[in-house]
Amino acid sequence: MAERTIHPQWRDANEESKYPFADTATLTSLTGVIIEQDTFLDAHLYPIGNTSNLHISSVVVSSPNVTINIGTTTNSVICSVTFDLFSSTSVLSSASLIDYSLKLVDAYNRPAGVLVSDAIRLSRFRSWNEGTHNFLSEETEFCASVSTPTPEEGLRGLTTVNNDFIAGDIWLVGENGIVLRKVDTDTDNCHVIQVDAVGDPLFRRRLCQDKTLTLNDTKYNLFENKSYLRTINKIPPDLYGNYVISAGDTTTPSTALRVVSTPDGIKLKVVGQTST
Amino acid sequence: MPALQFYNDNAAIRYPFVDDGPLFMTHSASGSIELPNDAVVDFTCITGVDFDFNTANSLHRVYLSQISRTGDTFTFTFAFNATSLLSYTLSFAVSATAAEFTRIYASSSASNAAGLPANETCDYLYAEGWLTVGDLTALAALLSSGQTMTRADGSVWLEPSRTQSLYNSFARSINIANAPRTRAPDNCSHSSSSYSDEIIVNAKCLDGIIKFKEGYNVTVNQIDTTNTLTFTAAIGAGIGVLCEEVLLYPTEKAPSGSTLLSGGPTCNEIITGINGLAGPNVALLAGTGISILDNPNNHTITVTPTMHGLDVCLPSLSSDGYTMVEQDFVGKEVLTLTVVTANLTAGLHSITFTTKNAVTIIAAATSATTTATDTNNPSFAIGATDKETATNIATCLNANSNLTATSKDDRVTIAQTNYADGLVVSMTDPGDNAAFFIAVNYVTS
Repeated sequence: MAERTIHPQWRDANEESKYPFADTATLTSLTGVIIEQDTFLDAHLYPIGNTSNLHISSVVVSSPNVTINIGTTTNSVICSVTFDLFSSTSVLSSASLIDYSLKLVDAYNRPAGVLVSDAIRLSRFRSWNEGTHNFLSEETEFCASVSTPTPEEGLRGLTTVNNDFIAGDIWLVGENGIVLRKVDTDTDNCHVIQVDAVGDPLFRRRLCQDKTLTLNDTKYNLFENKSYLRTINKIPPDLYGNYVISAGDTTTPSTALRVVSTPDGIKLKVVGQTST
Repeated sequence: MPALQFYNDNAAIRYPFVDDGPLFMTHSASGSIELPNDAVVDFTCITGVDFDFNTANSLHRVYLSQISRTGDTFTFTFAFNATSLLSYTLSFAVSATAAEFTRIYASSSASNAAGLPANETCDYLYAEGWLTVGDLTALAALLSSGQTMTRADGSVWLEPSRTQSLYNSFARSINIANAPRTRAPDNCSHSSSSYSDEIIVNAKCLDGIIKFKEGYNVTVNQIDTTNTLTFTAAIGAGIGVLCEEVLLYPTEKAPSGSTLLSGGPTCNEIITGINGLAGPNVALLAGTGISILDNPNNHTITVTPTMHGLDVCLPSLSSDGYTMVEQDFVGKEVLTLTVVTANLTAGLHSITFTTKNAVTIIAAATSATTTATDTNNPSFAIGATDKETATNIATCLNANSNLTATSKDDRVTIAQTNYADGLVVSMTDPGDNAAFFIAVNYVTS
């Protein structure tokens, strides 16, 4: 009898196996709910920082949303995906039934992989009871070929006190009196960035220039350029910014005019015989 | 059933493409044609850290957009429908005679070397991947040199699991820049702008090991357990207080008319104090004989030597050679004349007073007669001495009901009887090179 080789397509073939889960996975939760083995047809998992076996640690049903958490034995949620089972805009009601890839993200919303399924298969979660369905690692362990170890080496990103996450080409910008400078590379061949706080002497100009305030229908500029008094009769002040106004000069040494500094101000007066 | 190896199996199915029906493409010569399953048996790629490649619901796809043949070389071009990657492709070139299951690498990258030193050149990776081709015999039979097979709508697309997105997955480089300093405009022009939003790049594409150095007034604190760097600004911290301005870039120059990078004057270039009194407010005070009038609306201070409270010699009255102009002593209570008898000529000199109530009194110099009645045309005798003449003047004026006059030595002091001000005085002196009053003094009210 002639032997005939059948070549099922990739997803069709996986449908008949537990792939992308390990052969030993029972796909049964601690609550007794079973993930049918053809629910997921393929996967690719690469959460940053993971070097351990990955498994579905829990499925949280909170209608209309379902959250699938993926973790390890030491970190129950290393990445996850949440999708809406019933929304009219849900992918499950979209025209594309051939593919529905669940995009996994980690705590910083970084891509962590995909779970490949389709709309009909994912709709099975509609029948799950509300609540959290936990799985032991051996029950939902993914096979090695769909997991890419991604050690968290080097600088993966920066977070701020506001939990903003920054990655890729990171720009550090000094402003408001902070100056960042690359200085000479040190003996360790490192890039050295010097941070200076030198202030912004003209900060008020920066803050208020081109801004106006309207009071009683009158618009006022919050900042006006200033023309400082630099000289009087083309004579600048001394080293300390002081200017001297005096009475008399070499041609009139005996002038009656006096200029006297007092605690209250500069007094101009004329001396001479007072009337009686 | 024999067990097939991975590639062999894939050569018989549509993998690594999604099985969404036959993989039709448009042949440049013969129209729609199905891609042989064994042309591509495996594929994987990554997309770069800058590009949000979202595989959810196949929103973003990697798809075979074209196969072209030039001579014996096939070029498989894979494209992306992610907006950020529309401009980029992965092109794998392979010989038509390549061995079955040949794996080819391709990447799509660029650098931004323009204007930057070699060690500050970033390499930007858009995508890279591997393609494994199968037996290309069937494809070669379909595609001759110069021909293409295309499918631009993304329908020949790869399994989502074949793509790994590196979006935001690592810090590729540190780039440092500074916002421009706030500058006073050149020469403090009122119309020019002082601030630009364009940042000034200091260094780009720093990778490898990076250290932060404490600069002026800055401390850097590192906490290993929490992977935290804390920068704190404090006066004198780090390498201390800076006495000069820090250049934002090596060629930075001060605006025209200033020695400061931030423009404007230095402290000793503006007047901050007058006569040792520091600003911001310095008062000008009027002392004896000085009037200072403020006009805030016109931003004007008027300084006038009024001589109030002082004995004043009015130069016009001690000048000779013309008839004396009227001197209006408005606001003055008492008028004092200093007499020079030697310069008086009877019948020639006179003094005219106009009181506030418009009474004109003319006192004329005579040789012997001093009136003592209430008349508006009194006369006084020129005495032998200044004192005597002064006495006579006071006598004739004091007799007038509108005036009060006294004398002391060579001075005559005159006031109005009923008014404190408004007395107008004029004198007749024809110009004989000798003034008969060397001074007219007054006392303020």
